[in-house]
Amino acid sequence: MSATLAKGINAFKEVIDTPIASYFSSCVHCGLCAEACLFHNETGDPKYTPIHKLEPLRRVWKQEYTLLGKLGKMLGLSKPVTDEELTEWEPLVYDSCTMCGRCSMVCPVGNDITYMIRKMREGMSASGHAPEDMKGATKRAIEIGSPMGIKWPAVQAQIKHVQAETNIEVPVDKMGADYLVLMSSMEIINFPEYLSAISRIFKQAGVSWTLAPDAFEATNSGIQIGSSDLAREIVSRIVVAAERLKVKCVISPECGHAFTAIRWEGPNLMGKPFGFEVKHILEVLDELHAAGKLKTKGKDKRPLTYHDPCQITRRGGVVEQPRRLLGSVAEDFREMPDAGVMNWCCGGGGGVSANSRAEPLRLEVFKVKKRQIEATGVHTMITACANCRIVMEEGLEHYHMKVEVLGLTELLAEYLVEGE
Amino acid sequence: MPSALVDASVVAAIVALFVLLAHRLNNPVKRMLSGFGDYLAWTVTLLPLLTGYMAYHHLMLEYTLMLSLHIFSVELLLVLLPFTKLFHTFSVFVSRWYNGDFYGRKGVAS
Repeated sequence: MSATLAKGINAFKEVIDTPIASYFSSCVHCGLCAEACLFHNETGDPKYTPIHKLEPLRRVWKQEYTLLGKLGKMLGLSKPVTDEELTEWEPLVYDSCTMCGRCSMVCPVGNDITYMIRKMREGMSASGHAPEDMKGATKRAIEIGSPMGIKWPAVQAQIKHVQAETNIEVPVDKMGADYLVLMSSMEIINFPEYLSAISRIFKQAGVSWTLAPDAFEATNSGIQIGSSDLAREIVSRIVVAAERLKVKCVISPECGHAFTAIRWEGPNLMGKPFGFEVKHILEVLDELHAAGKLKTKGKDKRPLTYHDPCQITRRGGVVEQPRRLLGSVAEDFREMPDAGVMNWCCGGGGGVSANSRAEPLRLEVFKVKKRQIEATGVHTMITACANCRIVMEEGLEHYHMKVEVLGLTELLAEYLVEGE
Repeated sequence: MPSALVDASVVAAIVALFVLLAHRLNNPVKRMLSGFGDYLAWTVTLLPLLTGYMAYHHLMLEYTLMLSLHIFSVELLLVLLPFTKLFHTFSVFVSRWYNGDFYGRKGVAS
């Protein structure tokens, strides 16, 4: 599939729907979104103003869908969108936007700028203006099955390891299980604690669950690069497996954009409602906790704070669950400034962490996270997204900070009452 | 409404518009974002206020001429409204509705 400017412009025309048209009509160029943006806030560079990152898309909207714009185009007065311009905009749309959604929260006229960036990436990737690293990750996700090139045998190896460690059988391909558990490649490679924690918690809670060899990967590079066709293909693997195994619910792992991909974009991509529920692992754990099935004993004495992953909290609605869960195991829980739906992004969401070109900028904007952590004075930070976790571990190392990052699921497993 | 109150509101509105313009010109983000349309919208918003105030106080031009300029400027505002940023006065409700629906569906207060 070759990418051309014409395809990109066509994609721009296609993605402009009623919300986008009303958003562009409503924007009064007040510039408030700049102050909400991680990248503008930390660098002070006006080019990182969120609505400015959409300039080429705005011009296509104006030239194609407004009266004055059409008139201007007819008279040859308007500036067409060119390949050079899109090349210039590529770092703005991909490197300096994590689709964290803070700008969408502060816009006084209610523009969902994040949604527009997501849509603009459709035209960027169709015209060949996506970062090389993200193209590679998407290619691997389609051809191999995972953006990091992981295949089922790698998961099998981890299952073996977990089974030896916990003496609990990890169910695979179990027909009629209640839950289908997904993982992110980051968890498979870097954080085997997740699978081990899930096995122990679910055994204790008496939950019937399974893994699926054809749908273990939850991440979706198609969403990040902005290709709905590829995103659909990746989501459909999960849908097919969930339907095949007749599960009642699919559990999105400790990964931000995977939750957005499966829970919120999934049914729209597939064009039909799912025959099963999709929940984030924190929602499931919170339900088990409320039902008295997830019993913990003792409390962590370390001062702890919680980093809200953007796609899970602000863009996902899972806000109270982690607090309730942490409340049960943390003795000294401290909220960081701006915690909850206005939390600052780790700097690596929306595909930025997969894009090596963006690394210096990502480390620079980590300063805000540094300030947030320092304000709490803790040395242990909990989160619920493996990508946030790896990005923050890199940031912490870069700034020589002695802060440990843990996943919430594994923290809960540490205090689990077992064998009753 | 009492004339004095209207008068005071007009003066306040004119002052506010100039403050907004100064801010638009001085803030680097706003200056970068602003184009012809933003300044046009500002101008056509100011003119009815200014000409109305001047007509009422018989300033500069003869009253009937100033009054006709005032009426003309209001017409200009109404004509340009659908084609400029001023249209946000209506589309803001559509945008807010979509944004509210998006976040509301997920249970996020915005």
